[in-house]
Amino acid sequence: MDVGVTASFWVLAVVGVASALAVVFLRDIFRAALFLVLCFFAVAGIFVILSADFLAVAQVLIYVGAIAVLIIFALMLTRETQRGSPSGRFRFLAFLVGAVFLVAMILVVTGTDWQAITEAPTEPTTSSLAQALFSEEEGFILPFEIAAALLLAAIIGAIVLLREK
Amino acid sequence: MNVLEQFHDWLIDYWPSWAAYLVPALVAFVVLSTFVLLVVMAFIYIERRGVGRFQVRLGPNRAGPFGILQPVADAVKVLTKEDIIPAAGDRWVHWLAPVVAFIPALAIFAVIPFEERAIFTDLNVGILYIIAISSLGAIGIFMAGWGSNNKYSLVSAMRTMAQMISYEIPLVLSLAGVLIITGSLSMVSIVEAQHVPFFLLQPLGFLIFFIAAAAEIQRSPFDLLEAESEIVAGYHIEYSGMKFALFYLAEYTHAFAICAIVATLFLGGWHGMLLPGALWFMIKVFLVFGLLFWVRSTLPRLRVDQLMGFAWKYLFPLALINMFITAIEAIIWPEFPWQLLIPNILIAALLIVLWSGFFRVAGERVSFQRYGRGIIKGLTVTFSHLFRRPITVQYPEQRLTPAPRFRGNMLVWDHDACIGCRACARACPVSIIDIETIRGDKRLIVEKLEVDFGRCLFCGLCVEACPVRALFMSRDYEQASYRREQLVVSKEQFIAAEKRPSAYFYPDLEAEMPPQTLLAPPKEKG
Repeated sequence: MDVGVTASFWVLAVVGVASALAVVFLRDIFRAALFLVLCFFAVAGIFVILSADFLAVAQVLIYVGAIAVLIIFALMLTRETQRGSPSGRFRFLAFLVGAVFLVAMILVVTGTDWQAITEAPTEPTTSSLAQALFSEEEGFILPFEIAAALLLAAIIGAIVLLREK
Repeated sequence: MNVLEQFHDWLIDYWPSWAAYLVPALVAFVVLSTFVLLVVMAFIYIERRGVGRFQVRLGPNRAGPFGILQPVADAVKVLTKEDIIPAAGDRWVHWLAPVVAFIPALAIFAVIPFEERAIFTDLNVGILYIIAISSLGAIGIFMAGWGSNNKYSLVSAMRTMAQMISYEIPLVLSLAGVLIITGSLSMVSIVEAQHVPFFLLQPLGFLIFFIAAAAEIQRSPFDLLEAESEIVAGYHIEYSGMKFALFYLAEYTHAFAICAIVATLFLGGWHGMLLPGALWFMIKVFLVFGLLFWVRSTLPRLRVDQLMGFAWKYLFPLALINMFITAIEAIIWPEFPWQLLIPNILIAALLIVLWSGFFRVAGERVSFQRYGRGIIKGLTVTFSHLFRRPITVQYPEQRLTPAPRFRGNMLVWDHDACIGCRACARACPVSIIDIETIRGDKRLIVEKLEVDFGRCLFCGLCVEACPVRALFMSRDYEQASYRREQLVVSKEQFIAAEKRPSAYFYPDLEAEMPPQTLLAPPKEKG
C-alpha cells in the first residue's frame, strides 16, 4: 500500500477515535458537539481513502451539514448548558445499556471474518451506485420508493400533530 | 488530464512518489489561495466603489489612485488592532470560529474549473462536494455566536441556522435541473455539456439558485445575521483585529466561490469566443458579482418571517416544479435541444408571476404585480446612478439644492408690512411665536417678537395665516448653535437678518427669486 495512504489512514483513525472519546468524556456539551463534527469528518476522510467519494461527501452533507448542525441548534435552545451535563437518575441504567452495547460490539468485531477486497475500486462510483439503487432489473427501486413514502408520511404526520394544538 | 496531473507525471521521473504527490498539491494550494485572496481584494475594492456609485456616494478614493490601495490600508489597520477575547466567553471556540468559517469557503475552489485543465481536482462528485462543504461555514458562525457569550451573537447564530435550513433545500433542488440535463456531477462535464448556457435552458433554476445562494452567503437583502439596526453586528460583534478580518475574508471568499459556481453551472464556465477560457471565466465571475452587489445596494433587508416564508412557500415549490418539468423534458427529448429555451423561459415567467399570487406573508398577499414592479423599478434607479457624474457638493461653500417641495426653515419677517394682528401666533400649533403689540398712531406696533426655532415644526401655518404678506418661510436651512437660547430669534435679529424668502405659499415669488446656487463662490483650483 502507498505510504501516503497509510499515513493518512493512521492520522484519520487517531483523530476519529480521539474525538469520539472527547465527545463522551467532555463535560462541556457544546465542545462535545464540536468534537462530534470532527469525528464525522475523520470518518469521511477514511471513506475518501477507500475510494468511496460519494459516501464521503454524503457523510459530510448529512452528518456534518444536517445532523451535527441540528444537535448544536438543539443545544442552543437548551437551558443551563453552561453547567455541562450533570449525572441524572438513570446513571446506573445508562451504564448497563452502554456496557451491553460495548460487549456486543466487541463480540461482533472479533467474531467476524474480515476480508479485504483485492480488486480495484469501481470508478466512477456515482453511476454504479445509481444503477444499484434505481435500475429496474436488480436495483432496490421498490424499497427506495417505500422508504421515501414512509419518510414523507412521517414528516406530514409530525406537522399534522403539531397543527392540531 | 489537468495541469496538476501533468506536473505530477513529469515530477515522478525525478523524485520519489510521495514527493511527486505532495509538491504539486502544495504548489497548487499556494497558487490557488493567493489567487483567491487577490480576487477577494479586488472584490472588496469593486464592491465598495460600486456600491458607492449605486448609492450616489463616491466610495473610498483617498488611498492611492482611485482609492485602489484601500484594501491594503484596511488590511494593515486590521492587522495592527488589538485582539479582544470576551472574559466570559469560551476561549477556544472563540479562537477557532473564524478559521472554521474561512476554510470551507476556500475549500470550494478545489473543484472549480477556471479553465478546461486548470482545476485542482475534477471530483466525480464535484457539485455534491460543493453543497456539502459550503454549508459548513455555518458551523463557524455558530461557534462565533456561542463562544462570544453575547446575546446578540447568539441571536445571530440562531438566525444563521434557520436561514441555512430554509435556503439549502431550494438551492439543492434548483441544481437538479442542471444535473438532469448533464447527467453528471462533475464540474468539468457540466461545463462541457453547455453548448447553450444553462441560464437560458434553466431560467427558473438559475434565478432560484442565485437567490438561494445569496441567502446562503448571507448577502443583503438576506444579511439578517448581521442586521446592524437590530442585532448590532451579529456573530462578529465580539471580534476584532485579525479574527474579524478572517470573517470578512470568509464572507468575500464565499461570495467569490458562489459567483464561480454560478459562472460554471449556468453561464458556461470557460466557454467563450476569441479570448482565452480562463479570462472568459473571470469575466463571468465579475459579472455575477456585479449582479450580487447591485441587488445588495437596491433592496432593503427582509424580516425574519418574510425570509422564511419566501424560502419555504415560494422558492421551494418553484424549485420542485422546475425539477419535474426538466425531468419530463429530459424523458421526451433526451438530447435537450436548444429550442427548449423558448418554452422554458415562458414557463419560468409564467410560474414566477402566477405563484406569487398564492404566496402570503403574515396574512398579506405578496403578488408579483405589486412587488415585482417595485423591485425592477428600484433596480433601474440604482443602475442609472452608475452613469451619474460623481460630483461632491462642497457644502459650506456651496449650497445644496433644496427639494422641489421644500418649504424652508426659519422665517423671514417684513417689519414694515406687519400690522401686528397676531394671526401667526394664534395659528402656530406649538405656540412658539411670542408677539406683543402696543397701540400706535394708525396701527399696532410690534413691541416684542420672539420665535423659538428650537421647537418649530416648519409647518408654515403662520405664513398661511398672515393676511398682509409680512411673513415668509426662509430658504435658509443652516440652523445650528451651541446653546438652545440662541435658537430663539428676537425682533432685532429678524430685522437685521439677511432676507431670503422662499416661494412657499407665495408662488409668484418664484420668478423673482435668484437661482438657488451659491452662498459664496466655490474655491478656485490651483
